[in-house]
Amino acid sequence: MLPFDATTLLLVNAVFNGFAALVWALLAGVFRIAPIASGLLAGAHLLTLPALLRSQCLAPLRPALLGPGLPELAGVLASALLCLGVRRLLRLRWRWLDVLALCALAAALILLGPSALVASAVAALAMGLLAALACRDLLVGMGPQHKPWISALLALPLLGLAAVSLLRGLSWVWWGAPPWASGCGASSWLAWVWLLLSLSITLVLLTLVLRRLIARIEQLTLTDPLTGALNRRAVARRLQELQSQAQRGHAYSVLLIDIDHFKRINDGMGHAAGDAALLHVVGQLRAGLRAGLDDLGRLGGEEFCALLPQTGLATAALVAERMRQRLQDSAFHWQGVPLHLTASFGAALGRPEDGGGEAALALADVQLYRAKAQGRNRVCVDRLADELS
Amino acid sequence: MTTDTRSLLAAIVFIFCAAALVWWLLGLALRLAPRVSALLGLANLLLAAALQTDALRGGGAPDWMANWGSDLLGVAGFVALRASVPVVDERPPAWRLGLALLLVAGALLAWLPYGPQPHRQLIIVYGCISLLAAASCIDALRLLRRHVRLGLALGLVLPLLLVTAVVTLPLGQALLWPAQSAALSVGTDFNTAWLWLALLMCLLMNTTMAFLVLTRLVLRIQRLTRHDPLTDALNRRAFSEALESAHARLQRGPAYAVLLLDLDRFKALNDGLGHAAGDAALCQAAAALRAGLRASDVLGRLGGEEFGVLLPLTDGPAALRVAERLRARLETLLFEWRGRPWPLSVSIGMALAASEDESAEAVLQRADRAMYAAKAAGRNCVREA
Repeated sequence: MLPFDATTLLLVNAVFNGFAALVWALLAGVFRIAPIASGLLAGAHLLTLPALLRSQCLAPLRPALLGPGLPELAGVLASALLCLGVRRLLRLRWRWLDVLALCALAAALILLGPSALVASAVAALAMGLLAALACRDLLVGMGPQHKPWISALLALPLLGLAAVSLLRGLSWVWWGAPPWASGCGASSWLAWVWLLLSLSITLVLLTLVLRRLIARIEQLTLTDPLTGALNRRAVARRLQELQSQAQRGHAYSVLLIDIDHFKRINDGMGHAAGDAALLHVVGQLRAGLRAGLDDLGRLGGEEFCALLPQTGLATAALVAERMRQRLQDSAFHWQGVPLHLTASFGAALGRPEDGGGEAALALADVQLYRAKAQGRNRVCVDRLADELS
Repeated sequence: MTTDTRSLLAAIVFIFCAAALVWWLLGLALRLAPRVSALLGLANLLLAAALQTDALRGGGAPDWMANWGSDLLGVAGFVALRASVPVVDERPPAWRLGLALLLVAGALLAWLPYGPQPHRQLIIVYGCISLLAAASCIDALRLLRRHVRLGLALGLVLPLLLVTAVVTLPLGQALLWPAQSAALSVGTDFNTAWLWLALLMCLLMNTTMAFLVLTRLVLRIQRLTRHDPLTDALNRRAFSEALESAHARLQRGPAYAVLLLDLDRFKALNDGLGHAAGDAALCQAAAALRAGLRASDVLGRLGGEEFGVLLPLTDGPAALRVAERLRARLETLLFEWRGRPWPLSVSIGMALAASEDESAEAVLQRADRAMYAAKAAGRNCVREA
């Protein structure tokens, strides 16, 4: 088996990076998809081109303009932009000081350092650290809502880049000039590794863009555009999930919530006032729920429901009472006029024998009507369940 | 600097394989356009196999595989690519031309002997591939023209056009200079240059298809931000915007009318037949209403079972005629849920915009009051504000 030619493979890598830069620029400019993140990533790919010229194999292509240290610097900057791009793409909290500090330190060492050897070692180590940062950010940003194997698969290329860069840096430190740095033919396997990393990292980043678009579509189809609460279809789906958990012994409770005298606001002060009141109520109700665990849905008009997994009826009644009190105490003003907002609550326990959770909703509905009949602004709890427990 | 043809070929095969893997993962894990992803994964894999077997020509591999097999795999790759284009727009895959060409090419290539001068084979193979690439361009352009403006459509198809140009180059060479044609793994200058172009083609092909899928997602998002996902009528916000812009034009003359429609006894339907039946009734009602309106009229779902209709450039009597037509349409709509018929009807309030109205909201409120008057008058009727 003849060895592969490292020069050709590095050139392929360069073509690929140039092409990827163009694609990201198009995503940012024409499609307006995540424009800042795409711009950062276009920059990262573009800077990889001079960084590839570090290799001995491409030495004939290196223009005289690129003085010593500059290809190394480009490599560090490319990794920095990659890290920032990942943060931006995943909508993580915007931090750049750590990246900037690392870059500045590496740049100082590369430009002012005593030899080309130090420059190469520092560049490789800095690139490794930046890739490790990006890898960590990706794992944090994917969060718990994805299956672990998907997150791991997506983080793998960045982890690979970090490992390869750090090993390279350490080997420069250890051996001075590592055996493959001198010739060109022997490093073809390294050229394959770089090509694999370039390809897989780009594809991972494109997958993240797609994930963002798909998440947006889900949000639009599954939530109510006004309040951001789940719409009825999403509530039905979630209820089905809770029902299957209930059959495995995890009890859940349902609260049905109806704003008192809402029609008066809507008719008396206009739809805009009604919308503002709905938003206010949803804010108050949300504050009483466990983030990431409980769900709030809007069933229509001024009727909401809260789904409380792993919650017995007694706790659910307590949660409802807390919400009711909070809403009653909260101040809502429309164009300077204070409005007194209250709601009635009906609570019921999910039953294992209930098909799609409709029976629980119906029982909660009965309690809601009872609360309305008893004068509103109160919580009524399904008594049948009390007797059972 | 010289290029090593073998390394270049290996790198291209590698990229094709990676692309195949990613398309399949996208289809399986993200459920992103699963049929398109499956076809494109197949196309990439076939092309990788075609190049790989071609590289074995003259060494190692049996002749039928390196020659006939490789050529047919290349054609099959483009058959899969072409088939996938209409699927992006949820249409059935376009197989017919591709499979016919594949059969013809297979028969012709089996009949022609492979010799040291393969130009006849190259003409057949690249002729088929060029035809399929051109067909993909045309399909993609047609599909895009349905959704986006011509400039953007041409921009999106441009890379596919470049792909077509790249695959016609070997056809041209085989036709014009048959003596210089040689198998790909032979490092002639033409082959080296063409392989670099093939690398670009691989990237362009996958990028174009990814952009097509992306365009579909973006269009879907744009639609969802303005439309109610259930009935496809405008959502409340978009309807309010349409209303406000009609009101802004009111000062300069033509009046507009607003209808407010509320389905009668909808709660009874929801409680009696279930929410799924309620959703189906809403969909059918929206479709019936839309069929009774002009293209310039605007239908919106304001919430629950309440719809709004904006009738631009319409006076009172005409608006009442439209309202009466919509009411009659819903009354005669035969709604059935699992074999159980359920009568639908609607109460409609109509308000004509007047210059005294401060805002579109005021007109809508008058229509709302008229709608309540219609409910009070026994439902299934039209009242004017």
